[in-house]
Amino acid sequence: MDEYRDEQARELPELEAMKDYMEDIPIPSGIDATIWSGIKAGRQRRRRRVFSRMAAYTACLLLVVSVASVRFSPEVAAYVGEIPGLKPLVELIHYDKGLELAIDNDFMQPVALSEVRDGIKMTIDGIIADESRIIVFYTLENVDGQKSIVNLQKVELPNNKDISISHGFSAYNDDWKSIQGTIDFYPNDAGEFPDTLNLKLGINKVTETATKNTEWNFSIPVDKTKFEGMRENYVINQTVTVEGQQITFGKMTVHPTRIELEVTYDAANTKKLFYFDDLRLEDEKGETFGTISNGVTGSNISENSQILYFQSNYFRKPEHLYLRASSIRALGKDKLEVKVDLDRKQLLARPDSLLTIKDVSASDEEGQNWIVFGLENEDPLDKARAYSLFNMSYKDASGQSFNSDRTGSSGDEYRFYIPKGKYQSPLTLFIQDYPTRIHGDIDIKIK
Amino acid sequence: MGNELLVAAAKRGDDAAFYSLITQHKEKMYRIAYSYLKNEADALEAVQEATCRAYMQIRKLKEPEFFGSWLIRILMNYCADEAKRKARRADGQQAAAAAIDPHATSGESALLERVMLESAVEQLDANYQKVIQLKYYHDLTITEIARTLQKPEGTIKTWLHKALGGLRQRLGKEGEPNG
Repeated sequence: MDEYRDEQARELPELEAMKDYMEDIPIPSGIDATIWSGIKAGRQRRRRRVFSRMAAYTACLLLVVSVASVRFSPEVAAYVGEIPGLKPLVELIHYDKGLELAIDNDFMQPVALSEVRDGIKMTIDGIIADESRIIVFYTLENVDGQKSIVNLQKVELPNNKDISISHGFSAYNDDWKSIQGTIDFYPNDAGEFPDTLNLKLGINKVTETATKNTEWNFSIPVDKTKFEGMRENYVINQTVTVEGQQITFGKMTVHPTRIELEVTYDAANTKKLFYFDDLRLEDEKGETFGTISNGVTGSNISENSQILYFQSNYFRKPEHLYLRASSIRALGKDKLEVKVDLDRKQLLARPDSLLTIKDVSASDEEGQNWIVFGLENEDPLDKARAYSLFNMSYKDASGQSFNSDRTGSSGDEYRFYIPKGKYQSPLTLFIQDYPTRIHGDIDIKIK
Repeated sequence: MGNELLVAAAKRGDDAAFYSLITQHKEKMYRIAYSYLKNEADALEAVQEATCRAYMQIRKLKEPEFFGSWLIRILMNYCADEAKRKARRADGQQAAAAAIDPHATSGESALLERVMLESAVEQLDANYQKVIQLKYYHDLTITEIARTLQKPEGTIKTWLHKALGGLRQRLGKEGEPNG
C-alpha cells in the first residue's frame, strides 16, 4: 500500500505498535444492547421535540434491556412449570409484582393465534385484561432462519381510536430465533375495551438485500366475564400535612393489573411537590407494593392533581391496607425559577447553592448551544437517580417562550440544550424535580 | 452501495437499518472511545451517546457514502468533551500520572513504553492528537481522516508532521542519531 507515511514516524516504533495493541482490546459482549439503548434514547429525545408541549406528567417507558436477575415467587414458578412456553413470557413482566400475581392466579387469557408471513411467525400468546388495562403477550419466530434485523414498527387498533398504546421492542441479533414482548393498552378517560381487539401489527425486516414491511391483523377476543366486578373502590378523602404542605388522597381504585390513586395538592401550599420517594401500599403482614416504575407511572388531571399508579395487590386479598410514605421531593414555589446570565455565565437566581453553572458552550455539529449545570447531591436516596431537573420550555428576558429539544446528564453534570438563536439574557428555566425534600410520616388506614 | 440504501432507510425512520449501519462500525467506535476514556464503562457510554446523537441527526446527513466518517466524528466530539470533563474532575491525579520520569523506563517494558507514548500523545494539541490516534491507533488512511475531521488532506498531512515532531520531542528522541 502506498499510503502516505511521514518520515518522522520512523523513529517511533511504539507508535507503529499501537495499532496491534488497539486491535487486541476486546469488544464487550454488551455492545449490541448498548447500541439499541442509544437508538431508544435517540428516539425518545427526538419524540420529546414533538411532544414536549403535551406536558404529560410522566409517561416514562423504561425499556427493559437487561435480563438480569429474574426471580419468581414459588407459586409463579410452580404455575409456570405446568404450562410449556409460558416461562419466557413471565420474564417479560418480572418488574411488576402485581402482574406476576395475576398470572399466578390464572388471570392470563390464552389466545394462541398465529400466522406466518415473510418467514416470520407471529403468535399472540395471551392477554391479561381488566377494565383499566390490557397487556398483550406476543412471540415472533424466525421460521426460515434468514438473517435479519426486525423491529415492531406499527401497533394500531384501527377501530378504537380512544385507546392509548404503549410498547417497547428489543432485538439485538441478526441471527435471532425468537423474540417475545408485550404491548399495553389503556382506555382514555372513561372509555371501555371492546369485546374483540382488532390489532394491526407491522414488522420491519431488514436483510442484507432488502427492507420489507409486513403486517399482521389479529382479532383478539377479550373475555370480559373474566374480570367482571373485579374492581374495588375506596374513598380515602384524607388530607395530611407534611412540613406545612397539604396533600389530599382522594379515590383509590384497585384493579387486578394496577391501582389508581388520586392525589391533590393544596393550591395554597408554599412548596411545589414533585415526587414521592417511597409511597407504597402495605398490608397487615408488612408486604408492600410500590408505584409502577416501568410503564405509565402517572397522569395529570390538572395543575394540582394527578393519578398515580401502583403495582396491584388485588390477588393478595389483604385484610387491612395502609398507604404510607415518609419523604417527598419538593421545593419552594418561589424558588422554581433559575435565571441564567448567558454572557457572564452566572446564575442570577437558583433554588440553593447545590446548583451551579459550569459552562455555556456551543456544540459545533448540531446547531445547538448548551448550558452545563452542576448539581451537588450526596443524598443516598439519589445514588442511582438522574434527575430531569428542568421543564423543556424556557423564556428569555423579553418574555418570549422557547422549547429545548433535549437535556442530558452524566454524573453530577446536567446539560440543557438550547437551539442557537438570539436570546435576550438572562434566560429563565423552570425546575420540575430537585433533590430537596420534605419529611413526615404519612400513614393512612385504607381498610 | 448497500450502505446508501441502508442510510436512506434509516432516514425514513427504519430503526433496524440504522442499527445495522451502526453495527458495521461498532468495533471501531468502541476502540476509539476506549483510547480516549480508558475504561469499558465510559467507552460503552460513549458508543451509546454517539448512537443516540447520530440517530437524532441522521436526516441531516448529506453524504450517505461517508456515514462512517460522520459517525466517528460525532463519537470523537463526545469523547473529547468527556475526556476534558474527566480531566477537570481529576486534576490532582492527572499531575501525578504525568510525572513518570521518561528516563526511568529505559525502554524495557512495552507496557511502560505505551503508557509514555499515550501520555505524550495526550499532551499534544487536540487536532494533532486526533490525527495521531486515527492514523496510528485506528489505522485510518489520510483520506479517511480528512473526511472525518472535515479538513483538506494537505492540512491533515501538515498536522501529522507537526504532531510527530512534537511527539519525538516529548519522548526525548530529539537529537538521537537517525537509525
